[in-house]
Amino acid sequence: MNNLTSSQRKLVYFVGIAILAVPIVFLGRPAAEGGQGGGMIAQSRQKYRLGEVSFGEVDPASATMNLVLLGLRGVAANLLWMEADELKEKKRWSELNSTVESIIRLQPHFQSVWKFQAWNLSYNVSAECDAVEDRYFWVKKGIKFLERGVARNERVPEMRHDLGDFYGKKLGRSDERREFREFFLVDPDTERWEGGPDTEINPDRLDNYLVAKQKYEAANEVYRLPGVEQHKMGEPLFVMYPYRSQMDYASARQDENKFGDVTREAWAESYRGWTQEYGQTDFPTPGGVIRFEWTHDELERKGEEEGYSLDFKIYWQGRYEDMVNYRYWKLRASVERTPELAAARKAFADGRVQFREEQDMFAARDTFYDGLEKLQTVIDNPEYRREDGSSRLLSDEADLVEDALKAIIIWRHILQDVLGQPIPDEFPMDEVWVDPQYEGLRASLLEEFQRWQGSGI
Amino acid sequence: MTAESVIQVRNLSKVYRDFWGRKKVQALNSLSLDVRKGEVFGLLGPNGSGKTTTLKLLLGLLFPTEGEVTVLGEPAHDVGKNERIGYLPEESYLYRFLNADETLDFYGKLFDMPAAQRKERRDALIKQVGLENARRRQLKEYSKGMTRRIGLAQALINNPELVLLDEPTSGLDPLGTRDMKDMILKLREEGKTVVMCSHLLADVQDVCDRIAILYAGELKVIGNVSELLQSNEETQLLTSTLKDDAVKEIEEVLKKHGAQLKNVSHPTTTLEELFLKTVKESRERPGRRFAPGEAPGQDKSGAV
Amino acid sequence: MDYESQPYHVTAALVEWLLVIGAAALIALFVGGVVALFLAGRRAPALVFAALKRGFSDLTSLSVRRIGALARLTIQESLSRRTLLVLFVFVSLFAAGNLFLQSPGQDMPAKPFVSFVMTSIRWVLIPVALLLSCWGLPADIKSRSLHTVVTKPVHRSEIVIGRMLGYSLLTSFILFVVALLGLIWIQRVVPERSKPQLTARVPVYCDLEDFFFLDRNGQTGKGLNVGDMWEHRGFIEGQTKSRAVWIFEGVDESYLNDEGELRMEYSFEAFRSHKGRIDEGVRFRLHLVNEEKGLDVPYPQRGAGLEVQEFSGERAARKDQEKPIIDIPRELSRTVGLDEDGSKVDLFDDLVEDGKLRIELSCEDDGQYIGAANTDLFIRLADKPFAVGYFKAIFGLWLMVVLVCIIGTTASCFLKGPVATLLTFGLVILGHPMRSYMENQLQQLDEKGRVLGGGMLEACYRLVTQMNVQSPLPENDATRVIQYLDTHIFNGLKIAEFIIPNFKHFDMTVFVANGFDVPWMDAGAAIVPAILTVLGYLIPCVILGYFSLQLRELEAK
Repeated sequence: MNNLTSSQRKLVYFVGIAILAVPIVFLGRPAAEGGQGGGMIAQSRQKYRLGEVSFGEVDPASATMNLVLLGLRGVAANLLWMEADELKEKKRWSELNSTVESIIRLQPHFQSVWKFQAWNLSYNVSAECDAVEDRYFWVKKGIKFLERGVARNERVPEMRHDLGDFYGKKLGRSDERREFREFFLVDPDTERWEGGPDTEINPDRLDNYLVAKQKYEAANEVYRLPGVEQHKMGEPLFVMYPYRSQMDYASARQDENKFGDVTREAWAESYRGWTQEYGQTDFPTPGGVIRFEWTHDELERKGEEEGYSLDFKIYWQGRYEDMVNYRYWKLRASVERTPELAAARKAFADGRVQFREEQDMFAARDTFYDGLEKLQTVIDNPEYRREDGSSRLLSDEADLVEDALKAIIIWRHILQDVLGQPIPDEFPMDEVWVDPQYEGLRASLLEEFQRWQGSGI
Repeated sequence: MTAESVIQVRNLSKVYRDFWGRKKVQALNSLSLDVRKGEVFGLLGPNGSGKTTTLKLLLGLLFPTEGEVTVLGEPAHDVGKNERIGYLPEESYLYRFLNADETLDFYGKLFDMPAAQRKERRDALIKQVGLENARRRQLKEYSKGMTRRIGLAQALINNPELVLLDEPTSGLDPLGTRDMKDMILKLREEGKTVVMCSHLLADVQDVCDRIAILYAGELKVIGNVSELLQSNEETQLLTSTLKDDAVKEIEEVLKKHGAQLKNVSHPTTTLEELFLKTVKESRERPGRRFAPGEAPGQDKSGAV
Repeated sequence: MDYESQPYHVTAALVEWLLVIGAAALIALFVGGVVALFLAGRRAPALVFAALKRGFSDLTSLSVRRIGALARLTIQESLSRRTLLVLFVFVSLFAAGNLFLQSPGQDMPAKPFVSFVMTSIRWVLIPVALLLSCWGLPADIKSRSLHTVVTKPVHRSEIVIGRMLGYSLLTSFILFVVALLGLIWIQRVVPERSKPQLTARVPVYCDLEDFFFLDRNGQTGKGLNVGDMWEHRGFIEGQTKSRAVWIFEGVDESYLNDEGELRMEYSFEAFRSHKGRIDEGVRFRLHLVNEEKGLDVPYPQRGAGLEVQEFSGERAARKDQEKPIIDIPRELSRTVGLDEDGSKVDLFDDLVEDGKLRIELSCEDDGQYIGAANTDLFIRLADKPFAVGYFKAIFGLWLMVVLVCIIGTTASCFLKGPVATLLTFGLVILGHPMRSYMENQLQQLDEKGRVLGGGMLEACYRLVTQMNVQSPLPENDATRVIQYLDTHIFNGLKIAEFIIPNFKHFDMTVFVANGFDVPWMDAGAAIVPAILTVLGYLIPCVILGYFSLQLRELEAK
């Protein structure tokens, strides 16, 4: 080699490089459109879904960053993570936000980074703020952040499911849920969103639970794709969320004293989704495939196919039903969609207003009585009675009992203490009033009522 | 020797050591010599004999292991003496991103010269070294010869009393060598003292008044060039062309004086002189010397 | 803003500097003497004396023209190395800035944009200054261009100073261009709604020692911790006698704004121990107190108090959102005091005493808490344009870059390029990101006599044996030796603390990013300490660089 001139040596190097490059180029040649063909590496990438494209949206900035940092990506991400922790500790939220952005540029496909930091923004940062508007602002930040994570990780059902949690649980179940749910429709930043919702998270001006339902549905869709797994929770639970969100939506409307047709239809839709979609979903169990809505005949037929006994299949169907509380929710949706129960609930709400705010005692008395009567007809519906005559509704629906007891307490108070009228021996729903199993509940509700009366709020 | 000495070297030794202080090379061993005012002094020796080391010790770039050096009456490490010294390094260690003007201006500033004086010196020197056409080109585009010229120019920027030249003619073509030698002789005429080191003996012989020959760090010979080379056994005559009988007559005359004619021939000129003559003529009379197709080398008598 | 205002004591700093320099000089002299003695024997004292004498004259008789020429050469040399290409780095950085700050929506505050500019400038310019200054001189020595220079009547001190000057000028030019680009970029990309945050508020803080808490019984005490790891703010409890107290000094009528009011701004933090009214903020009240006259004038004077506006710099303000600003009128009615007729009090005549104004903060909501630190309440003088604060911070950055050039050049006088780079970079890292860690360790050592997890060797021991930092070391000879050695390592660190430059003084990002003017005087980042720090290093660095060049043979072999 030493006898070679410099240009000869360079030629030798070049030829060497070229020879070495041939197999790399051959093995790594890219796949054609649609992922067909290509070199061995490209095929394996396709097969194991390791290609950038197969994860979801490609972010050119982060691809560049990774290239620039060579092997130091992990180190850089670590440093940024430490910085993020310090910024959080020192409550420098806006810088925390931009540091987190830098982290995900480095690790765009690291599920827990997205999840952790979205949680950080939506839950931790927002909780630090005193003004509800500010809290909402940071909840939104977290949601938007996670939305982007989902876009970059299309085949990760957990992240979509988490997103549903943010829309549903963070907005709908926190202390500030009343304000949050309002803000979701009318953003407090009225200047920017012109009195409407933040279209980045709610383009169609929907209820937060309905948006959550969409996200959960999207999670289910991805989950059903071949080769996709999720490790967040048991399958029946994971799949259940869109249907439960629908119920949450209906139930939240009731909490907000909205008892019209929209609410009732929301319950009707809940029942339909729960029984006809969720209840007709195949779930593999140790006892073979089951569906919640399958009758014993259907179970038996399936069992013969699979070689399981009917008893065994019934056992597993029951176990799975218990896991998700299937029958309870079915009953609940079923009864809430009836006009009678809607009317009863509306009557109780109206009665409270008449009693408390309008101070129209006669009207309140009649409204409560009317409501109790309506409730009685619902309870008496044979569909909800067990064979021994006891009410399935009353034993399963604790809040119905509570509602009934509250109504009776106020009604009795109006009669006895305000109007000075006698209380009749029999009245609608008196079975609850006299039932000794509810005595404790009755006493505590009475106490609560006294406090409520005294507080003047 | 004492009053006129520009450089005094006494008992000078230099040992190069490695990182751990272990002795690596004895570059110079007890050197003592003097350089007198107004002479051209040559340091001769094969590669590694200690010429450059001596020069660097004179300049204060290296510190002596033992002994003393006085230059222009000051110790070698004194910065003040540099005002009166010019130094041309072995290879011209100049800044390659500067052009000739900038280079000379920069070194002029280092002598704290005012702008007008710098310009004057700069113009004069560039003319002197013949770089008028290249003064705005960056040094990195210069040929070896041009680099030596600008190197010499920067060494003379301060009109120094003492000029130290490290291998002034190395790497130069004969024309450049001659120019360099002429300039050295001119410096002597101006009354400057020149110290040069070289291993090109012919060059040394041409310009030096006195020389010292170093070998392996030790001084071997020192003295006047003419004295050292003079041979008193023979006398040389040079005449215009003589006919054969004229030669015979001269032989007779010589015999009368007890001498003997040893050799009669046409003197060959040195290649250097031939080369210089050709170039000079070419400059004065440009044009083709050989007709196209005619093989050079066949005597056409007009070549010289 | 996580910042504590502390006074900077120039005299104390100067004394400390003189002590350190003196000690360093003595040590250097001693080491030099020993080396000379070793090399030259009996001639050593004369040699040392001669070197010092020559040094003194070389360092005091400097030629401006020579230094100028060397500085210019340095710049030309750097330019020939395509240094200006770094400008393209900035252009592309700013162009990519939008990508890093994802979706700069309308609600993005100005802060991250400003931080981004300052941080990018810092971290791109430091390596530039570092590489230029650390590699220039060694390259010059290696190529022997320096031989031609030092055989001219140039003092080596002039070479050192010329180099430092050249690098500083060049990097200053780059910095200036980049700063302009950065300013334009900021003005362009900060969302319209956050533009008001681009300002330079001029705060008057109370000194740290003039800020304290009264506990729930009204006694001097500490602020409560509500569970934050960060102990920056102390909290006071609502509807108790608990208060946070600020005493502002030098308050006079020049502090009033155009409307004749004293404008105050706060950045308190609320903490709730119960839900309370969720749609309303926790309320507070300020009290203007003159203890001598027994005056305690509340503000606001009526109503339930002011709602805390938190984290106003962390997002763009909504249109109707209140700002955390309190304008206190000069004339206040005395609702609490000795006079029964409710007569008026004058802010300056009655409340300010010897230029001191005492302001107390109370939380008005029962069971809720408000947190405050000494910089969380300040008198806000007339604002300056954003560019003022910005360029002051750039000036701070410039000083830091200059310091890097100075240290880099000095290091390159006695080290080869790569080593000089490592040394200087090490000092930069120790001086800025690691400084607070080092200070924290030494403070622990000072206060508790030991550092959590022990010193260097102990930490190694724990790492290897996988022992956590809390559990005590086993008692044996090995651990005793380890601890003994660690004590001495810490002593070394204590000394190093004086030598490692405190880059904290230069980082003024926190001010501009938060829309504040940069202070002239403060123990943290401020203009005067930054200038003094640079000067403090310039002098010894020139001396060190000079002797390093003077006392070495400029032969690269």
